[in-house]
Amino acid sequence: MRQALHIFRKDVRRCWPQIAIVLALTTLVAFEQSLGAYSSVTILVSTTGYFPMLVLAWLYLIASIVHGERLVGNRQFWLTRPYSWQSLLAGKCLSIVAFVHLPVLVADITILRAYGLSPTQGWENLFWRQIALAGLIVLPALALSTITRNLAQFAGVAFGLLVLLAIFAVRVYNHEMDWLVFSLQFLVVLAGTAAVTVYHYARRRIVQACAAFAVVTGFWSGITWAGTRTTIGWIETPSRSDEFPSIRLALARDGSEPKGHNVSAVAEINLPVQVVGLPSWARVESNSWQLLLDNARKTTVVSSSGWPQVDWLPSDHRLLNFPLFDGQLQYLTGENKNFRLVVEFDVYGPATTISAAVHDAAVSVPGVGKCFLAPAAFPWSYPAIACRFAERPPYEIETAGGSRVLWSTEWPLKTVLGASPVFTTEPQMLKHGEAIAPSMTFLLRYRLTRIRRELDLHQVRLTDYLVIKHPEAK
Amino acid sequence: MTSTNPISTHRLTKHFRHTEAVRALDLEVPQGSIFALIGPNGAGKTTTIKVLMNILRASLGEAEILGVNSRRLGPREFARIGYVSENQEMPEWMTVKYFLWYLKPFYPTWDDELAAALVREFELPPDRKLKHLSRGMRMKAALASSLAYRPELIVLDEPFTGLDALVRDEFTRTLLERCEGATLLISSHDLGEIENFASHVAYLDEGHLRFNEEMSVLSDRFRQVEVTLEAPPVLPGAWPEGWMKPETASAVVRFIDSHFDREWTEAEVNRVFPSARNVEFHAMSLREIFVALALAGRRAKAA
Repeated sequence: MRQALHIFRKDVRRCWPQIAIVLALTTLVAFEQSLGAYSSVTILVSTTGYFPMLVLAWLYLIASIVHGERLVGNRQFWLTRPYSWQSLLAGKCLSIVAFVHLPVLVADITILRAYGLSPTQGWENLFWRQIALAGLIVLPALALSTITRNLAQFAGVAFGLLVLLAIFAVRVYNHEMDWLVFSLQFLVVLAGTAAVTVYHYARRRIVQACAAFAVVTGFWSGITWAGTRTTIGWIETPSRSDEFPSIRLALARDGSEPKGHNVSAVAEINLPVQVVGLPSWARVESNSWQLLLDNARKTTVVSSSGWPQVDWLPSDHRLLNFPLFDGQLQYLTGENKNFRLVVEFDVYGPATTISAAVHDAAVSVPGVGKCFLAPAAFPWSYPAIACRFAERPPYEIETAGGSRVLWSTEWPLKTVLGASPVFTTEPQMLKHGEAIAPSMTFLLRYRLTRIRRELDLHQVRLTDYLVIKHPEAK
Repeated sequence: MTSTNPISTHRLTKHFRHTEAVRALDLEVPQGSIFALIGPNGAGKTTTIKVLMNILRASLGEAEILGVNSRRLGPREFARIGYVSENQEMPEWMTVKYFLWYLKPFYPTWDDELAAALVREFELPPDRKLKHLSRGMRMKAALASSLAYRPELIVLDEPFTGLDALVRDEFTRTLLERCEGATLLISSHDLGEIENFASHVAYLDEGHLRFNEEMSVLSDRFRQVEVTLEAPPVLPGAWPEGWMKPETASAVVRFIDSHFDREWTEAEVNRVFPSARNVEFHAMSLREIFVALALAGRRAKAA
């Protein structure tokens, strides 16, 4: 440990300009992100150029620290000095913790405090932000520094990796389950780059370390290239169908009739479906639905809906629309057939209701965070409301007046790596009733689980539910 | 493989892709010796030293340094080894004083007084950065940092390259004064310098060890032989083994005998040149021996 501290002191002396730049930019980012707390106009503080500059400064600092005793080459003076690799690595890590992680933690706490949010309430978020910082920036930069000879080489490879990231980035963040793929990628990068770093410090074998780095990059690219749906196929756990057994699907015999308008495809199947057995305190939201043709030989997907998210209330029944395209129609309407309807639901628990006066200024809303009113954008519009949290809320939030979702639990990861640790909702314009009311009512809903339900439709005459697109309809 | 010698190698081989830099090298460096590793450029001297210092990995064979396999050299062993190389990258941003201060905690046997004395003797400017020092000064700083903890083994790779005569002299003088009791392995082209103090010498050529012996034995073994004949000679086809580099000038034949033994050589001269009027034996410098061996090697390769 004494040797690690000695190396740390030497690195501080050598890299003080880089350290000064990092500390200055961290302070600037913290200041910039805290500004919103003191402004009555700005609810969302946009990130200017400081944060990307800070990321570059981190990379520069990490590369400089590692290259002080670089591992590539055979002429470095330190190779024949009594360095222990553990102390050397510990010394480098100490510098990174002291000048990258610690300042970020202090900046995060400062920002939270500026918004009146409690760091102790958001400790989990702060912790995961540190892990995200390590996994997304520090460890990849550390591993890359160990296998590069100098800053120019480091910058070149880093640029190449960023181009790769940009090419693949279009394939992510477009699916509700992307968080799962993102988590897998994160784990691959975190574990892979940590392994490359430790291995290279312990063994100093450049070819093997480069190969290991390439394998990590390849894995990451492979996961990204395979896309979310394929990757989920490898890792997704099946829906927990055995929970809430009372909840079932049923065909509604009364009420809705097939509708003859707004048919988007050649034809549409409009199935009147009901969710029965729903506890009075619960609410379900369908997540996906599929209609399958079931015959003796195989089951074929007939159609699935692109917009499945629907709230289901007890005793509610709805028409599920399945578009059909050329060729399917004749095949499906000839005789009575067996069909199967498969629906996935998210089950929500009872809502917690919270009322708070939010009109005068930014106020704490227990269990929610802090909510703010932004002045109306136009003379004829109403003010908007936004809320801030010290940690990602595990529930969905709606305002009772407009039933608008202010926060969603679709992305359940504990944190995001950005300039600020504060989670802020998009501003929502108040409706008339809320705008003039003295207080605001919030509904907090916790998602309990996801279940899968099937409904077998035996010998169905599909024409009963079929709506053909009118030839003149556009 | 266990040896009592500070450096011992057994069939040490190092190749880079298609080039074999060191071939099956068996070397023993005795305790307390000043061991000179000589050879032409590209002979494999630096590669050998880098393998010994665990900077490069041997392709085959093994080496033992201070009783430890060179692959396992760690902080404990490096605290007993002083290594200076002419192409070593130094922490150029450090001043001489900071460089020594920085290295001190790594060595339990670091002697502050000795370090200060070395700085004085080498006339090193303590507050000047290493990058602002001349080549000679940098080498002196490297040597000072490698002697201040009284290492048991000192390894110097081409330490005299690019140094002027004065610096070389200071460097050598201080080295010899301060390395008392230590084993010194030195690779160099500066044979004139080495000859003055080396106790053992090994000659490496194209990765092969051509000889490895005590300096005094080597000096005794090589002689330049000058034979004066009655008439211009015709060199015989069958030339005794160990006679190298024959030259003729009118009635004089000169050659180098690499297995010199006065009686045997005289008898052989009389046998090969029955008309010999006079035979003279001249002692050779290390440089002359080196040149003769290098040329012989080149000729053999060309043939």
